[in-house]
Amino acid sequence: MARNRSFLRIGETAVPGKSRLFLFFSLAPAFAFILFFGIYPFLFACFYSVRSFYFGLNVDNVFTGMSNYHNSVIDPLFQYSMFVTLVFVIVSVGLQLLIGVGAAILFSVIKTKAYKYIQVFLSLPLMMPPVVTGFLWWYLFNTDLGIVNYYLSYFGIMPRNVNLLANPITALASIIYADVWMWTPFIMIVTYAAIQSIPNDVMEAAIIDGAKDRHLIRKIILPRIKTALLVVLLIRVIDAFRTYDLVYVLTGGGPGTSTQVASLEIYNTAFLKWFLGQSFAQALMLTAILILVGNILIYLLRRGV
Amino acid sequence: MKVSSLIKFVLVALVTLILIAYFDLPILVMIITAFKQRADIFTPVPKWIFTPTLKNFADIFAGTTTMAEGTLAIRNSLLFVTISTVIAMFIGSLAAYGFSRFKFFGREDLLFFVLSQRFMPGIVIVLPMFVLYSSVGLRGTPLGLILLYINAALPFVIWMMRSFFDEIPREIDEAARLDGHSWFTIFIKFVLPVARNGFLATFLFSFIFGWGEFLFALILTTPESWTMPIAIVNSRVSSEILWGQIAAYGVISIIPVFIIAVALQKYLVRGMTLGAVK
Amino acid sequence: MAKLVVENVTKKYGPALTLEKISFTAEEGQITVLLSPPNGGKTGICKIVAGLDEVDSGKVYLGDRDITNLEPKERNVSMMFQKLALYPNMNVFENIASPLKARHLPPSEVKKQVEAIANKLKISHTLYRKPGTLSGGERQRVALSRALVKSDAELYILDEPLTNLDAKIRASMRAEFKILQKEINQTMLYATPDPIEALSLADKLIVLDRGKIVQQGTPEDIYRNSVNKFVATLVGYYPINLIEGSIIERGKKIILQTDAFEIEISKLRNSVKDYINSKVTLGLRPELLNIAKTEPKTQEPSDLFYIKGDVFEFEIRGSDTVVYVKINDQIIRVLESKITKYDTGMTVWLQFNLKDIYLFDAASEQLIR
Repeated sequence: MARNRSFLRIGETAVPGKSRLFLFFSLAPAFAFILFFGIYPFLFACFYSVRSFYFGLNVDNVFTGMSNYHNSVIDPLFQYSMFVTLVFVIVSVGLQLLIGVGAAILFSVIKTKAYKYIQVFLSLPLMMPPVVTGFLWWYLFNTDLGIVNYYLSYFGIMPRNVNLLANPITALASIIYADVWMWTPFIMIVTYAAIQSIPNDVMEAAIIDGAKDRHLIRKIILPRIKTALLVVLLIRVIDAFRTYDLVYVLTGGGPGTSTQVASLEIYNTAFLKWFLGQSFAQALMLTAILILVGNILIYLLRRGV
Repeated sequence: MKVSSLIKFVLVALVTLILIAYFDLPILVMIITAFKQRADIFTPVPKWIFTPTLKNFADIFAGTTTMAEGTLAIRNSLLFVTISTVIAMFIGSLAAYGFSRFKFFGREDLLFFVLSQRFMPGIVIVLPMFVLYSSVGLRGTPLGLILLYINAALPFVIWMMRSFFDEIPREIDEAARLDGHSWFTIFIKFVLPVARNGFLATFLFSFIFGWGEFLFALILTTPESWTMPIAIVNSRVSSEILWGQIAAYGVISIIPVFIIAVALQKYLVRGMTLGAVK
Repeated sequence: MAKLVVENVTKKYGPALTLEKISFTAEEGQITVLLSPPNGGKTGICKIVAGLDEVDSGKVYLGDRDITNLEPKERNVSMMFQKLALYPNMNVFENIASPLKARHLPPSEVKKQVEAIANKLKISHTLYRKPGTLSGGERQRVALSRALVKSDAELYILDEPLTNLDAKIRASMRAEFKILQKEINQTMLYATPDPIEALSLADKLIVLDRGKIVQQGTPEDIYRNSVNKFVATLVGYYPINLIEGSIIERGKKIILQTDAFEIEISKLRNSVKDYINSKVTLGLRPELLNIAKTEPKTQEPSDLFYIKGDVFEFEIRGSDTVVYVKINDQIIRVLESKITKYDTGMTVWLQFNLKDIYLFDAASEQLIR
């Protein structure tokens, strides 16, 4: 059967001339930006990641093949930073999801009119730049000035002069705590809106059928917001892997290097050690991991899970 | 079942209270700190009763104690983020519309490609851009930063808006085409208004993402073009940390976003199935 | 108005449906109706004619122009969508005005025309409300108005305009529509799955079965001379009775034999001679059957058949009655255009005329009328 060999279609149909023109111009501005500010840097990074590139010094750009990559992979510091980042992402995003979705479901099932106002106040943490959040929690967790220390010791939970940020484990806990504090509202807002979009008759039918709240939640709400959740998850996971501002301000990677998340490590390699080539290699490896994770999540999304 | 609904109510009220305490108490502390004098901050025992002062705010606006001129930084942030977000919203929505309405070879792959722009750690973009900008004289200019911010916002905008457009039945486009309107008119007058809620929600979140941006600003700005996060970090002067001032910055930084959120709040509560309802 | 010619249009939509070699003509000033069960290809054809879809092969002509590759805007057609596709963010006035505004008519002219058509379709009172606030019937009229306001279009395409209305409104809208069409006197392409709509509105009827045209002609023609079982079943006022049987020869007579009864059809000898000893399907339209309460006196030979049976059940539907007559385990439906009461179980005689029967080869072909 003869078939138009058109690679461009609207819906099921091939796109005639004028529409083709529109499609081109609708996508063009965005792609112009992406080309300049996305592709170019990416290629730049690729190019220099296989070279010994030291910024500012007159060392020749020698092609060094995969040595940057290799060195990074065997570097225990880099390995550790990836590990810490992984832990950070899993715990932090996990908690955010739990609290955020939980709160959203709670508020949906209860149906208060006050929610509109509550929502704005619950999302204040989201509105501050991460650097401010970092400073805020640095202040709060500060041994001498912070109220956390003071009140925890006041109630006898902890001695007065423990430096929360000097212990690797509590330091990690601190940045996780701050990150959860900052981002949970995001998840809550989006999830709540998604739940609101479930048609009322579905909910009412279930209630009439005598569904208890627990069932209502599990069988009706969760499946329908899966898409929204996955999108939000995608955004949060990717961003959590790239966390920089918060950690930089709150712990600076410390104590020592115990909270040196990947982004920090990459940045340090670039600006403290000046190993730009290597830093690019590390960054690209992180990108590769994120692309993998992204692909998995999107696959789940497309398949409708 | 009055008892069980009473229990429910109490439970919910309790949870709400806990949530509000968890999220808002730290902010409260920050606000209070912003009005404290230096001496009141550096006390071993937290002081809740004190004489408030506006000195912290005054310092910011006069730019006396830090290297940053507060007013300038605040103005820059407002300007850069607003302009870049607005432009990104339009360019991105237009592209999202194209992605939504037209099927073409490699569409989903191209979409993933767009999204993956967001996967690269800041370093990958910043350094090369630093080099590029230096050679074309854009380094440290507002334009340079704005362009970069627009690009940073695009993937998110395109992804979000596409899912919102997908939910609008194609019949509307078809009817408008038969009426004789051009694609661009259809986009602006017929489809975008219907996606209004999603548009505003995306705008708010994009704004929030840009508002907090630090790395690009750090590397690519000069003192004249510093944004607020930079100014805040610069409050970490060598001798000591100006907590009061930082707290004041914190308070100031919330206000614009807060205003936008309140203004848009009625649009945010619905309509974000993000593709679930088709 | 202009003549629409569709020539050998073919389009594959995927495994489920393919439009194959669709060819027909919609004459000027007439309503041409596309009739098929859901997913038969009607909407596909409408969209192709409107320019919203492209063909894989074939051509479309409107008047003396080849419009096969033109954008919708350039085709000078107007369309009403099954799903109505009203613009939710605009009020009724703006919805109807949309085609006019796209042509940059001056506002005063726009106002005049919109108000005129709103008047005609009796929705003037809704002009400044949004579609979401209107009833189903009102929304229908808005969509129709938007389609009709383009008064100089050469062709009007209506894709299942009445499908989304409930039955009661549908009947009255149908009548109104017939009057409207006479007033407007334009070329119309009308798609519907409802045979009653098709029979009452069409000047020309085209029956589709899963993407192929099976028969086209005047409604009467198709009704009387249904080319196969599918068409006979689809095009009728009430589902046709289909009874399996076979044709045998007994002596000099040709008999149609079914499990329930036999009738002599020697008069049709010429038409059925190739089908003796083969299986056929007998079709009896309920509306062409009659019921006699007393045994009629017959004169043989006659063209009228009488078969004895019992009343199994009956249903009074408004102004007509459906009677289920049971003949030896076979139930036959009869549609009487009056209200009659029966006693269940009473004996009656089914009456029908030789010329009203349909005979189909078991492999779905019609034989004789």
